[in-house]
Amino acid sequence: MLEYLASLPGALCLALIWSIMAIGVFITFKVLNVADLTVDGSFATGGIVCVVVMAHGGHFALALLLGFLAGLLCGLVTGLLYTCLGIPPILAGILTQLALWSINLKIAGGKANLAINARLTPVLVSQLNIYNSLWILAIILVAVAGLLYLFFGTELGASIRATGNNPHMSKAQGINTKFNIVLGLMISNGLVALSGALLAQYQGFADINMGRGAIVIGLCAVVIGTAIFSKVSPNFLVRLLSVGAGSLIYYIVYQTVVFIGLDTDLLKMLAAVIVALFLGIPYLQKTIVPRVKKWKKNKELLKEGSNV
Amino acid sequence: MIELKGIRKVFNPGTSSETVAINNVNLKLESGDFITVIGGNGAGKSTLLNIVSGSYEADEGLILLNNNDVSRLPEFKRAPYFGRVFQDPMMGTAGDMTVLENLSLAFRRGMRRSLFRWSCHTQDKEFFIEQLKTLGLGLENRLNEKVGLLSGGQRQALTLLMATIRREPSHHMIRRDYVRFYDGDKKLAKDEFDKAFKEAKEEFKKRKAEIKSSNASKEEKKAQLKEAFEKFDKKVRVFDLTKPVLLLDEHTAALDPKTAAKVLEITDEIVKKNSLTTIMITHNMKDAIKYGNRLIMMSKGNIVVDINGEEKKKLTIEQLLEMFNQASNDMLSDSAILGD
Repeated sequence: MLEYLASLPGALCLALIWSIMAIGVFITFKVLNVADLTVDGSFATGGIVCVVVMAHGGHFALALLLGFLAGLLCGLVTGLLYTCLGIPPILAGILTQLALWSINLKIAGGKANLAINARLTPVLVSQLNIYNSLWILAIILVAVAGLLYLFFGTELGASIRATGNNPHMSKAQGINTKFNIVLGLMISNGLVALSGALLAQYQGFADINMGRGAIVIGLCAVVIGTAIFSKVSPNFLVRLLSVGAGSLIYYIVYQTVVFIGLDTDLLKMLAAVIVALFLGIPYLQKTIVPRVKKWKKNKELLKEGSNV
Repeated sequence: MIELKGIRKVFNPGTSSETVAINNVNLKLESGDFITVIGGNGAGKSTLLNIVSGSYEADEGLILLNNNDVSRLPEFKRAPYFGRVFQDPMMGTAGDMTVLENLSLAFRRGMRRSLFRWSCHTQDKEFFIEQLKTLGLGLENRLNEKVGLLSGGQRQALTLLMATIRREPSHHMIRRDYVRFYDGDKKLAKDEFDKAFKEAKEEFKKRKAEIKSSNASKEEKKAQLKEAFEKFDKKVRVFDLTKPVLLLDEHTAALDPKTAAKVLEITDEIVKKNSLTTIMITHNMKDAIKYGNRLIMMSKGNIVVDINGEEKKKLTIEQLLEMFNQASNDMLSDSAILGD
């Protein structure tokens, strides 16, 4: 049990890092209403760019910034594939993701993973210093959520929300929906890459496969967060922070499952099952529950009829 | 003035499901015309409106605003010149956003959406409340409610308002639109605007210097300056001629009869108050006769009936039905002869 409790701060750190990515997923999935699969690629891009910059003697802040910018570029590519070439967004994301695998490998100089020596290189967050990292990551998360909240309150931000909510109306109201979709995808992937960069610093290495399944973890956090907190308040800031809370819940569940001794090979499947459940249950509630109610009522009606 | 010239649109060209949606439409509306459009299903009414607003691109033809072609502008750039209300009440508003947010979005139609301004301004709020009051639906008390919670009729009325309000454009935009829609030599328009602008500005500057050098109190100076600027602004706004052309695509078809009547009444009021040029598609022949000063009937992508002014006032439903049947019969016999 002690071992389990001792592992929680580390899990919390990871949860905070992934929640930044989850907020990126939230922007595409919930705000823009687009399922963007670039995430798996751009997450690794962020991590690898970060480590490469630091390996060349760059400051950790510069590394994070460049990681973020690399993510913006990834989003730009997916956005242009979608808006200019008319490729459906899911496919556009998959194409970018696939291309990024090669690009990431090239950025990493042909190596599948790269390490930084956290004892010698100054880093912002590190698993060697979990408690400090915890604070820093919490501040970064709140700052990101706060900035996004302000952004989506501006004229530009509001027009992005409108684009996701009703593209017909947006165009009729003179909103450049294509530009907004590209911009939204860029911001989203920028955050995802920033999260990847933070993870690379935290764990001290970047791996070409570190983004595999990232989209599912992000969706997990988004759907858990919205399912639990959507009734609390429709406020946008609450919705953003609830994604962070969703990520936290996911990691606590994850850690518990690991502690109980579930085969770690099954963890990705677990994530997929959680997403499927959280996305599927509201649908079933809408379709099956009323049908069962009607069925019961009809049964009673039939009974009454037979009595007469 | 808006004119459609030789508009043609074919869906799925070169396939077995090829349909000529708009065959050859020529239509000219003077400013302030309120025209009602009727016709059977598939007559091409909605397609025509979508072509005007830019949702579809016509295969051939021009859309002229004041003799200037706008058919190459993309939909979102045409938006400031066309206010639209759709048949589906869900389509004209963003359901997850509040009434205030929706109005604020519409208020900046055709203007740059900045990263450095909040989307909802407190100074606009009063104007919105005043406008919402004219609808008489109590929406002014529900500014911060999500539009998704409103009824279909309320949403259509809100969309109508959104289609017709617009923030006063900047001087720069007035110049751009004046030149863009000037009927004649663009250089003349530019010179005309620049000359008037310069004169007004010189006058304002002179007045400003006068006020500054006078020994009035600070408040007085401020008031005088404001007055002087308003005078200058007014002189520039003379050139602001763009009023949206209202495009209504059966906007009451999804509403119950009572609500539909109310929304139509509001529509008529707004159109009259702002003397807007309007194209309204309707399925209801009574409404088509009652509203507007001109009526056209479409059939198979052509305008088959066009009734104007006094003649339209005397029109009865029976006559209209007769014309409607004749139009569809003509088409039937045509296709029978052609064997398709």
